[in-house]
Amino acid sequence: MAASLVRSTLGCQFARFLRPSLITAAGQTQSQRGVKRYMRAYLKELYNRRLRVGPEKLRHRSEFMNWNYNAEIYAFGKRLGEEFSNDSLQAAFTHRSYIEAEEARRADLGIDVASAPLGLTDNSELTQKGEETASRYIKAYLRSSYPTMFEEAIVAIHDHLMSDDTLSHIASHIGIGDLMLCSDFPPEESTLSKNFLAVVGALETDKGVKRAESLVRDLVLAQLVGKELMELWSVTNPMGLLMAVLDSQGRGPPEPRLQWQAGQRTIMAVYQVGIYSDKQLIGQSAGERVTIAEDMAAQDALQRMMGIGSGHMPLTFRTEADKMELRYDPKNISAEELMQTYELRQKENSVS
Amino acid sequence: MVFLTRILNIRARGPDPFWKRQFAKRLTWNFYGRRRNCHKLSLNYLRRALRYSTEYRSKLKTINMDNLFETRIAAGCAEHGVEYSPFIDTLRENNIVLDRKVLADLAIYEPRTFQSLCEVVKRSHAEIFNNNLNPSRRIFTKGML
Amino acid sequence: MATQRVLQWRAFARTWWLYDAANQCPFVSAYRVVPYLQGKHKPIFHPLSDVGDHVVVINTKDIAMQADYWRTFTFFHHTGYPGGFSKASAWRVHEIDPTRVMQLSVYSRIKGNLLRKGLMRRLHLFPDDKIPDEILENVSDQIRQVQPVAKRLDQYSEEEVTEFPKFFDWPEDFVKDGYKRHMTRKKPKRRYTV
Repeated sequence: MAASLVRSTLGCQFARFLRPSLITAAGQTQSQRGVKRYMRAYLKELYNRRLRVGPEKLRHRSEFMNWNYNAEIYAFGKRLGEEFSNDSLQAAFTHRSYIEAEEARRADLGIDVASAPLGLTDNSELTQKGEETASRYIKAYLRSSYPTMFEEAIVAIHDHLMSDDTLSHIASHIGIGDLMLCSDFPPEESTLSKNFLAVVGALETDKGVKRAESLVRDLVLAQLVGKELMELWSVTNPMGLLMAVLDSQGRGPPEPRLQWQAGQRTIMAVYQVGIYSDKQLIGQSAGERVTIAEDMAAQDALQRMMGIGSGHMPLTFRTEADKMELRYDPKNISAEELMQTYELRQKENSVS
Repeated sequence: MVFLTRILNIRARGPDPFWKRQFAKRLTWNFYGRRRNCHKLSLNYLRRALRYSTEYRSKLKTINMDNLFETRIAAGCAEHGVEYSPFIDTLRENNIVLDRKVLADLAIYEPRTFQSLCEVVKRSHAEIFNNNLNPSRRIFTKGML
Repeated sequence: MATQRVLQWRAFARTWWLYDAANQCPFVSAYRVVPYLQGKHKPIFHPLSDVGDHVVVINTKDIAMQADYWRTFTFFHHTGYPGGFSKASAWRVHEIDPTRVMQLSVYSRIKGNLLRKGLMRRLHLFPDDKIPDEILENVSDQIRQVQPVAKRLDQYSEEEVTEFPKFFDWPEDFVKDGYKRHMTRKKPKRRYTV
């Protein structure tokens, strides 16, 4: 116990203290031989104090030294390789809650807000602008990348990309969290994601739609790389949809067949089902039970039809994507409409 | 009598041995029994452990990994009715320069690519077999010369 | 994660193999069967990942041994206590338990490490072809036998034997059924217990 305590106390955490060097006032290192005898007791005491006090309070970067907000904002644009104007970027990083808090603070101090305005604009307009651009572009990009994909799937993928979860992940990784001016700290996901959209909006006002769209492509759509797209869209009745699709294409109905099975009487049972239409294999998958396998095989068939199977081309990015012809307007085929027409036709057939 | 120079005779104790022991402890914390807690006992075992680990890195790891790759490639080959050593030899003869690590990875993650490699090997074998069947290639008779 | 889940499930599924040991050498059969138990027939093999399959061996009572091995091959056992040694020839072991010879030959083929017990539990031995349904239903493939099964002379019909082309006829006075091995067998010590 004692040994482990000592180990944890004076282990790797203090390895950096072990460097026998002193930093002089001039900022140069001066070598020093060995470790002084007091060092062990000193470090141990420091460590125990840290344990007593608990972890350091999370502070905003601006509370530390060397914080130059204007320089940071300038660097933000340069990091992304974009030319922002200072005003629009500053507006993009200013949240409504910050302005309200600031005004309240001034009112407390007895300063008249009307006579001495803050001169700040919040990012709600830019957010809205950015959201429209991003949303329109994501849908258009997906439609032109996957022309045979159902509209429902495109909407589902779009919703996933535009969710607070994804956008806040992107925002925090390009350093928006530190630059944001808002009252909540640590910043909430919704604030982060809105701020990212505001940055997109700011780029649009400064450099035009094309540039904003390429930012969305590089940062947001790139999140789809390596992702299972079929998992973002949950199909309730894949076999029914497959029947409707095949019917609309004038092909034979889907015919599930058991291809392979092992260990039926064990808990590790596995079945592989292939789905055939006109004696052509259109999808196959395994499952723990025959019903699961059939369901998954139908999903696999749909996946292959939509062009998102494992054997299909990956998404295009970079310069190739600039050449892509985007389809903003005409929507793709809707799965629901297909189902409805299929049901109607079935009814007609049964009546006649 | 006052010895004014006595103070000069105090021996400096030198550095704290604690740090040196800590350094060893970082490597011996997972040993069994007293050799983990007693520094002096642990030293010999530490030396040996370091020697073993060096030896493993340079020799045994290579051998183990080679054996693993061979097993995996052989398993992949067996699925398509090819044996390991003719497979490797024929690939080399046909100037397909893939090492065994890559071949093993292909066998796992890209079974279709691996199948096509097996197909190459099979066709190459068939070609050699057919060439040898044709007597004109290896029998020279008086009339031919 | 549904698609990935079923892919994983399929990759690590255990297949059940059937192996017919009738007229097969148990030692050579062990060479054939053990890689299936270890999972060495799969490209995803790794010694520490549990990817082995089940093997159901049937007709172990009909295994064949080469040369005079039934008589000369001896299985040994030691309990670890003084005087705990015992041995028995293959025929004797086979007489007591018709699956035992196959089991021992597979057991000795596997390297003696911690995995051996687990691998042996995936080997299902049956003296004849009567297998319980819950095992037979699991089987989805079979392992190729190690040696071709020859047809015995008494399995041919009289007609086939007489019609088989011959170089010469035996002379009238030739005694054909005179050969019989004269051998006095020593009775083994009855110390081997199962």
